[in-house]
Amino acid sequence: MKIGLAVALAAGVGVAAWGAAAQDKLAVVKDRQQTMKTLGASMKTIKEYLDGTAGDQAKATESAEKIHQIAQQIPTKFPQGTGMDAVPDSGAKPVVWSEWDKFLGHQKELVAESEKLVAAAKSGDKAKLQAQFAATGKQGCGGCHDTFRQKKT
Amino acid sequence: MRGRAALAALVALSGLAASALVQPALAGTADPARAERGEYVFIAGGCYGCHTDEKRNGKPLAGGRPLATPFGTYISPNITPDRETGIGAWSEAQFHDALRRGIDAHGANLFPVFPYTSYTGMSDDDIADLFAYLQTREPVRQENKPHEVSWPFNWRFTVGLWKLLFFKEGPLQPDPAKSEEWNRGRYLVDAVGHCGECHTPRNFMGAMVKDRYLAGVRGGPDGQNAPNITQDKETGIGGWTDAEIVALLKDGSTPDFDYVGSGMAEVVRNSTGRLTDDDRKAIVAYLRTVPPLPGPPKKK
Repeated sequence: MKIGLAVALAAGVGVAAWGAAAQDKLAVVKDRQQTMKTLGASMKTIKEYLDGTAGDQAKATESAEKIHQIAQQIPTKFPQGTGMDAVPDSGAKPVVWSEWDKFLGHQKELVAESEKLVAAAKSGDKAKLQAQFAATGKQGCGGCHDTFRQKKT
Repeated sequence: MRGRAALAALVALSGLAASALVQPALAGTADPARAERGEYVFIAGGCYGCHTDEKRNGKPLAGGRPLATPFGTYISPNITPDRETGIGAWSEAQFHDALRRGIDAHGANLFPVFPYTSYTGMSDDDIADLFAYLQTREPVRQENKPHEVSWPFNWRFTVGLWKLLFFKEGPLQPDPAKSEEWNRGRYLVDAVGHCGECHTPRNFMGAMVKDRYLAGVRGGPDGQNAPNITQDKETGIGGWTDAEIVALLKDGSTPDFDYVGSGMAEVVRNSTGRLTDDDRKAIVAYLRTVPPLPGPPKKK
């Protein structure tokens, strides 16, 4: 009887822990997606400044700094077990973790490109910023998405 | 006796002369003007992506890149001008047959994973230019690997039947009722750029489903998703501005500054990002006339 109770309790605790973990994982994915949206929105702000449709140099610089800051946090946004194989809402492919060093290589590229982006924004030279904006998007964002992200169509 | 030897030598010599006559162009001897134009055809055709095993640092165009499909995994062949393992011994006519008719230098059917279903629409000139360009590339000695495909899809004979059912051979004919720009865009999308090979769903026999043209694919090549690029406003690109579509083709950015991945980043890097602005605009002009269709159902 006592053993049965213990087993039931243990099972209950186990289920609760699993449930919490699943919920935590979903929260991680949602937070990560929000982070990526912030990256996109920051890129957009810079583009608007480049096109002359909105914003100014100060806003563009602020956005570039935001991108540079987020770029450095990316490794912490991808804890083990939060890929699309574990959380259906996620678009992070399992290859993120199976080729973690390669993934980090791309992250470092974004850190480097966004650092140049900040410098270009501060310089006030729009042509320079335009070129660095394209490089950041292509190599920093697209370079990683190419291998590691599965977009939900 | 001596006479016979002399005759034999003469026969051997004339044989050499004859074989010299049918010798294909050697690397480096291609018409420079054609080769130069051919580089652009090469970019528009996105040949580099499938024929280079970038992930394992393979040499350019030496093949060996696996491409997973529902029928198995195909391994791309070597298209460098190496005479033994590449296409260095191919004649221009044989190369033309591969693109126009899906037939290799030995007369065997090519598997339609090589998109001759689209390349067949290319002009004779573009095919010749592309051939000239490939002949100028660095030859790489690398044996082709066998495809990892199970019966009956590994059987080239079945491809013959498949072609009867699904393959329409011949260059795209310009539509005189449409603008030059539109015709150029259609040529880039449907023939050289072979967009539909990924963006149009396939039937159970692997043929593109015409009435779902460019409507998007879930689990396309390498299991990647290819979005709807018809004019549907909800699930396609009907709500995008011309500038936004051009920007995607140029640097991979979407209107909300997400950046494309899933194979398209590679296409932007090797192909659409290196086209002229006029060609990108032509692609947009054509895509604007693609009938809107709803995209594939969302996966739950």
